[in-house]
Amino acid sequence: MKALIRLWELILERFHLKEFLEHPVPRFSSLNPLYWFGDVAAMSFFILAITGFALALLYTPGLSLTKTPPDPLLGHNAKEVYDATESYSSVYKITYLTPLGFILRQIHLWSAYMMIFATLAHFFAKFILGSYKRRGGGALWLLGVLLGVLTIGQAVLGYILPLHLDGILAIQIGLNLFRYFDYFGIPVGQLVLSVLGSLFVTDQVIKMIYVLHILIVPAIILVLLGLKINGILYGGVAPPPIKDEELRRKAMEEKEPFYPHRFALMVGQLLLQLSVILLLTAMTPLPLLEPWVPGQEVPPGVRPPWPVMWYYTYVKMIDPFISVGLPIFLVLFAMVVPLLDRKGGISIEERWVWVIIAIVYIAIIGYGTVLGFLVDIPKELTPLTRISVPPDYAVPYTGTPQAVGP
Amino acid sequence: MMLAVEIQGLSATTLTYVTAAVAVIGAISVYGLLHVDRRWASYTALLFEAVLAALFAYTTNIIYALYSAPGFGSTVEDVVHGVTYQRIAAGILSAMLFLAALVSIGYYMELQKRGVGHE
Repeated sequence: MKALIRLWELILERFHLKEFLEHPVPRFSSLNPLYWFGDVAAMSFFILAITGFALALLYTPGLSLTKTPPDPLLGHNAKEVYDATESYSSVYKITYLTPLGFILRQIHLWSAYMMIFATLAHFFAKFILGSYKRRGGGALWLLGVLLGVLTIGQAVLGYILPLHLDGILAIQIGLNLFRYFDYFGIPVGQLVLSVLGSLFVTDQVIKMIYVLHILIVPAIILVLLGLKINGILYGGVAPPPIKDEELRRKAMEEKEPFYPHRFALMVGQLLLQLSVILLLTAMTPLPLLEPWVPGQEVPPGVRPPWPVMWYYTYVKMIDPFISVGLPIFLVLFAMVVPLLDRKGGISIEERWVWVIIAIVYIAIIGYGTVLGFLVDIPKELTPLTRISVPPDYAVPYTGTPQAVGP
Repeated sequence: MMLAVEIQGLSATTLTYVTAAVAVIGAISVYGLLHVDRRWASYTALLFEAVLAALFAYTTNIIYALYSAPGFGSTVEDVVHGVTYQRIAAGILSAMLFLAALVSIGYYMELQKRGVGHE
């Protein structure tokens, strides 16, 4: 044991890890739950990266049709056999025909949901704390908003990969969001479609989504996350929302070393997080859902998962001119918040207007999500149909598939 | 084609009850001991970790035997059987990680009581 301790100390000393591990961290940030969600989101990202690596080894993107048995978690007739794409079939093999593959995929799915939930909670917490008001906080806020957008984007890309009906609904909704820019004369939808090279899902499109999901978007997230961690490491965390300056200064000065104090808490948090994910895997496993066959339209009963349910609800409820672009407005507004909320202190009673705005912001998302689960809005999903400029190039995945180009 | 091998081991239901019992007793014991002495809480956690690890190895053994059986996957019942054992394995892992998390957070709480500074 003594030899092990000596070895550990030698590693710390020779790799100059002692300086990092012993850097002081404020005690209040370990104890206040408003400071925990960023860690949860970052940890989820690393869990996703590890499980995603294993899944990427087993997954095969492709549209060629194979016969696949029904999803046992959906409780179908055992004798039915479906036509399904190679993508769906490979996810079926991972989930149901590979030992421990079921656990692997469930950890990946639940971690993704946990990352999205933690990202939203982290955003809300930092909005309440006004963390962008400290020096360097604005840049970290901007990085956070970009990371949030990439997180949701990454989740949608991953959701498309098994090519189940819900995944096709996700690609439809996602592409319609890009088409919203076309309406204003900015050819974003056109650009995206020309990059995809097709008006419908092809082998090429699914390969592109796969590469985006496993390589490009995670690489960008990793770089931005590195910048963010670096900013927090050298710039410190957001000060506590206390009005009394003396008390706030005192809280900021009360510090503890990262190792072993905060380190023990972080390890505990990671283990607890994994424990919750595995418990969800055991208690409420997520099914693989119905397979999609190329050319098939998404039936009306298919609905998106909870992270994008709010958007789906509003697209069905409100005039598409307002609802389709809602995420764009929410992101743009989040980006300019540090520029608008400049005056006054950082305590909640001094910033009550902004706290109410933060609550309204999250309530928009929360209300749409809850409503989406409670009520099946009796209207077919037809984004942008009431907007008078639907150019031909901006009508993806509807009607008879037509190839673009030679 | 039906599954050619009959798995000889504890049924999924029995394994679930055994796991749940060990996990709940372990969690209560470790949580209770954390308020008395962290050192004893750690030893108790280690003991329950060992029992759960043995259960995990046993369950994983069943899973591999099932999945490598000739004809596995030809019926939905086989797959449901496999998924059930995998869910139990996930539950065991969850309990193991929960106990470790309790000890780790307990250590942090103790450091808080000791005051700011290094050991």
